[in-house]
Parts: sequence; structure tokens; C-alpha cells
Amino acid sequence: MLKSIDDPTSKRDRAWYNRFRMPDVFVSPNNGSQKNNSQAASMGHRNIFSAFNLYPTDIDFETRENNEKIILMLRQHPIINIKWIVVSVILLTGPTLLNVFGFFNIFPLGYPLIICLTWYLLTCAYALEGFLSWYFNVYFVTTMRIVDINFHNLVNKKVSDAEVTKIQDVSYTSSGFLGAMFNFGNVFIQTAADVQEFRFLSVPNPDKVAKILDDFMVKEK
Amino acid sequence: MVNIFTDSLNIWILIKVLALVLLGIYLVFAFVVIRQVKLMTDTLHIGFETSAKMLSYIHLALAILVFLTALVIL
Repeated sequence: MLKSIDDPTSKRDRAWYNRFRMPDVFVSPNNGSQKNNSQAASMGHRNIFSAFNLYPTDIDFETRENNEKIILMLRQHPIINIKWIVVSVILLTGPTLLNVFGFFNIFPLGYPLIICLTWYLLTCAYALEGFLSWYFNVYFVTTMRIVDINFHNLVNKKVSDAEVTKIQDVSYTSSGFLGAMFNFGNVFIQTAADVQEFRFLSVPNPDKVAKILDDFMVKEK
Repeated sequence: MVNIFTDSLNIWILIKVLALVLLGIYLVFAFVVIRQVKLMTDTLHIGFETSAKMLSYIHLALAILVFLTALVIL
């Protein structure tokens, strides 16, 4: 009796099926949730600084619903951090340069120390803000929504989301020397939701992100 | 008659007060950073919550240290 490949019954068949089955990028939340869970467990990893997390298992966000699975978590490519790192290193040399040019000679005893400590404190704050802004500004693609979580200047928070059924068009750009070299770019998602355009800026592998979102659109139609 | 020494002293006292006020404002900013990091870590659970909070508390501790140092030695 012939058995269908989509209906593996014996242990050997199931092993063969799992070995050669192509992974689904997106599985509808209405069917195959168990399969999706096992796949997520196998593909998830724990690199907490990764900018491209496919099926992350240990990541969550405030407004996620119980039956909502995270397919993709993105943040800007790590090379984006080069700006605040270089500026911080330059700022760290500030007190030394001021001392070389005799700036501290005009102050009474004690003031140069406070100026240096304050300078280093401000540099630390700048670096901390740069890191936290990069780390906590993330984009999610879930089985139900796309979510954009933004924290501006350590003071403002903005969370935008749109249902995947409302995605109308996806495009991406990868431009510039760094973009071409490190393979990152912008993904633009047009939606029929309140927020008409989502911009995933400077994310790694923009082509893969666009492909995943295209799969959404195809499967939802 | 203008006493140069006294005027000079007053200027540095004024600068000290100004420096302490600015560092006091910075202390408030350090508290705001802690609140914001808490907001971030409440919004997202992405595996760096403890370290991020620790960084913000270290930042606050440094701000307090600089404020107290300025209070003592200026």
C-alpha cells in the first residue's frame, strides 16, 4: 500500500519526512501550530545582540497575544553603532586634549577634576543612549501583525502595528557602500492600516525580510 | 573701593553653585534614564533586561559620585 508523503505514519517515514521537508517561512495561526512550535524551537537561538532573529524562542513584547507567534525580530544592523562608538572614543580624548592646550590652567584646584569627571559622565551617557536606542528599537513580524517599537532619545516611546492581512505592498532598498558591504537596507511596507507605511530602517538581509513579508501576502490572499 | 580678591572669590562661589545646579539637573536626568530603561525592559523581553538596568544604575551611581565630589572639593 502506498503512503502519501504528506501523511507519514511509520517512525521511519516521519524521520524521512522531517529530514527533507522544506521549512515553511510562515504557517497560518489557524493550522499547524504544533508544527510551528517545534520548528521555532529548532531555529531559535540566543544571540541577544543579533539584528536578524528568525523564529526567536526567548523574545517577547508587551502587547503580544497568547496565540501570537514571533516569526522575525529585527533591529538595525550592528554597523550602525559605529557612529556613536567613534564619537564616544573621540569624546574620551577630550580632557587630554584640553589639558595639552592648557585649558585647565585657568581654573583653581579641584575644578579640572570635576570638569574631567563630568565630561566622562556625559560621554558615558551618550554611549549608553546610543546603545539602548539601537538595542531597544526593534521590529517584529508575527503571525498576526507587524510591529514597530521605537524609543526616541530615551524619553519618547512609540509602538505602531498593523495586521498582516492589511499589508499591501513590500519593497526594499539597499544602497551605499556600507549597505552593499554588510548587506543591510531599508524595507518599506505599505499597509491599509492607520499607519500607512512601516519603515524597517537599516535592517540586515532586506531581501529576506521582503521575501518573508511577500509570503505573508501570498498566503493571506 | 573694589576688592579684587573678594570679587574673584565670589565668582568662583557662583561657578561652584552653578556647577552643583547643573550636576543636580544631571542627577534628575540619570533618574529619567532609569525610568526609561524600566519602560524599555517592560515593553520588550529580549534578553538584556538585567544588564540594561544595571548600566542605568551604574550611570546614576556615577552621577551621584560626581555630584558629591563637586560638593566636597569645589
